[in-house]
Amino acid sequence: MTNPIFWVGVLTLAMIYASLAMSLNVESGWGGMWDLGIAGLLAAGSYCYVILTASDPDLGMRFAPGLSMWVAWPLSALFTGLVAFAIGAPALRLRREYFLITTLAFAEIIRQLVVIQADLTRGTVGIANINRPFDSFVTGRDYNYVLLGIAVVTAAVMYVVTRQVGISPFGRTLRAARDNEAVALALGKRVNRMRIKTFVLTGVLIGATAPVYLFYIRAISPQLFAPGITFTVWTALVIGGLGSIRGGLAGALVLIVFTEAVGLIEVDPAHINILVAIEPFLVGLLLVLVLRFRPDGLFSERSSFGAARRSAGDPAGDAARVAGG
Amino acid sequence: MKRVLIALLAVGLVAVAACSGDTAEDEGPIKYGFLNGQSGDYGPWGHWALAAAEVAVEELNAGGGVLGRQVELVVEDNGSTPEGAVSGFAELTEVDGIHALGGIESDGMIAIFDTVHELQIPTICSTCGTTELDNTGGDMVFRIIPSDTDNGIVGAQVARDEGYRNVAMLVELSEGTESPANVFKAVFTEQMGGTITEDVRFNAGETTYAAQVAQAFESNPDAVYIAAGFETGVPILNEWQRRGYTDIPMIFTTDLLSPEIAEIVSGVEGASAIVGATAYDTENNPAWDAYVPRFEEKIGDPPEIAFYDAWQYDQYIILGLATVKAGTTDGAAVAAAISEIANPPGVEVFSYAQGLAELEAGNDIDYHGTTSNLNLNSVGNLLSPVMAVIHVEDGDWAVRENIELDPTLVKPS
Repeated sequence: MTNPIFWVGVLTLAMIYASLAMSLNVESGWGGMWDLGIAGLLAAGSYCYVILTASDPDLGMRFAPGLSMWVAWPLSALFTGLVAFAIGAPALRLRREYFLITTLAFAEIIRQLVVIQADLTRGTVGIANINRPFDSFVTGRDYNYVLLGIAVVTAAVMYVVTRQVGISPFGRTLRAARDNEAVALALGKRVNRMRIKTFVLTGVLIGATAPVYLFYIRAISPQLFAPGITFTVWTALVIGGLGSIRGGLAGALVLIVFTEAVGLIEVDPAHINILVAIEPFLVGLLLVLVLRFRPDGLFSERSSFGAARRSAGDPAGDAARVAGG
Repeated sequence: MKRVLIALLAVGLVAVAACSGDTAEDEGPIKYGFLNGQSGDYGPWGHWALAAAEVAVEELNAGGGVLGRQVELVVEDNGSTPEGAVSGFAELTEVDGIHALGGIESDGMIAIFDTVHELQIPTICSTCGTTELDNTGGDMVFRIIPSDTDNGIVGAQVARDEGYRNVAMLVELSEGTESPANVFKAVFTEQMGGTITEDVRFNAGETTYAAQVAQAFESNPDAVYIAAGFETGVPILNEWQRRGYTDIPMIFTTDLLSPEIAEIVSGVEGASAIVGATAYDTENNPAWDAYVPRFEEKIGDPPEIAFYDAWQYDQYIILGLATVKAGTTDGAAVAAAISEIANPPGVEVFSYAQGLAELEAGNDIDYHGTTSNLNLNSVGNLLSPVMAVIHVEDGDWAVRENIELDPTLVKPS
């Protein structure tokens, strides 16, 4: 039987990706803003946290205030929100594929800024020895349980926050504007301002998740924030159900556990290249099968909000809410 | 809610179905992990690296195993990413129960460095040039290739010895290329009084490198220092050839030591490229002479120069001998034995069988590897490695000479 610590690590990573996927769902699932810049926002939050908590003069960083991680954590979230605002202000003038390409470009710009600002970020070399909460009390293998707890709490907070946003008048208006912008504008909704607020909120949520990702990786370098991380988050969200409240959570759980389980297949070392080639194929097959049999993902947006309305004891539809809200 | 439960149940079933590994035990095979980029950026080297590791483990088992137990090589692909290294290391330690680790690259090593120490897994880094390991390690992590610091210094030394005073730089923005390039620049300008005519930095995967190549080669340099991966090097050299800069000599970093690059350079009359880097002391070396035919039998081709395969081989011979020396698979004991079997005093040995015989006779040993004497300093780095000057000869890379690092040249602060 596999050591449970391994699965604790897998679940930790799944919860981190779940947090990112739920954050992405707010802007992309409900706001209709297909964002390929997740890696950039995650980099902004991660580097903010690392720089603010850095204190070792041997690192040779020109700014290393050595703040407490409990101060740096919320500041990282706020900073990422600011970065999202700086990106969103020009990018949200665009729509569809133009917005998508622009966010991808901004993510790459952030990565290059990290590389260029080597006296602040240590450039391509990166930084190890990330400060982690409670690691003076719990060490070694046991810390994996602490980290899982932190990741679960983070995911739970993301779930509660995104759910509240989703069922709020703001969330309903956001979805209505996604489905028919002309109607939303005709009803007097300030769609552009609403989208910027959503983009900034997503930035704050990703920035709040960033330190947890660093607690897991234990080091930071620009190559950590390659576009692959964005596509993993997107894959999780699509599997779980784009627009669904629970979609990000379920999708990340299924995707990460499935990916790690595939990695456990034992093969002769001489055939490792076959397994390496099959792994992405199997993940792709999972995605295809989910979309074939559940085109809306494991959880659909419709069922998600139907359930939310029922739990709130209110059968009224979104359109009526938008009209009133 | 029902669907959430179904999804969680499905995930649980997958997890349980996948539970088939073991944890470290005192019986059964000794497990050495091989955590390496078989896919991703390091993927092109993965095939050679794994073959070399297998040759070493076959040698250990042919010698009767380690502590009377067979050795099993447990392979995990890290996808050439830090995240892959973290999850791969977790799988190797918590599922497979490895006793020691090899194969890891720089960025992955940095990511698992703390965990390696916490779990007491002796780790040899056979492909880590990162300067981050220059002053750490030696208790659980060891490096048997030269640091990027050494590679940068020897690059400057070669430039000086070739008589170049003005050098332009073309440097890819990645850890493995920037580290030696930054050292090269500091040593060449601050300690040798040389001039950098242009310092051009660029990203991998760009559509064209025309502007960067022109910027560097048209700055009137005596030579151009190119630090890049070979995937980037090919389009750069195509541009170099197309624009007719072929009379300007080039100094390469180790990652450009690929057959494709040698082919391009040798196809241009009058062109010259030189690589001053890496420890590759293979002349009159019994370990190298024994390794080459076995590698060739394994893979069908002889080893390419500095393709990292020889170090992949050496690391498992070291781990095997250190485990025998320690008399146990306990991580701390094996790690403590690594420097003892790699450094003098002791009988010089060049294979696992020789080392095992001497250890069983109660003698200390000093294992010499395929490409260097593998003597380690107090932080587990190679001690004053003999460096190779490599150039293109008859369409392929060949060692022109071996040189000692100039002791007057020091690591830049």
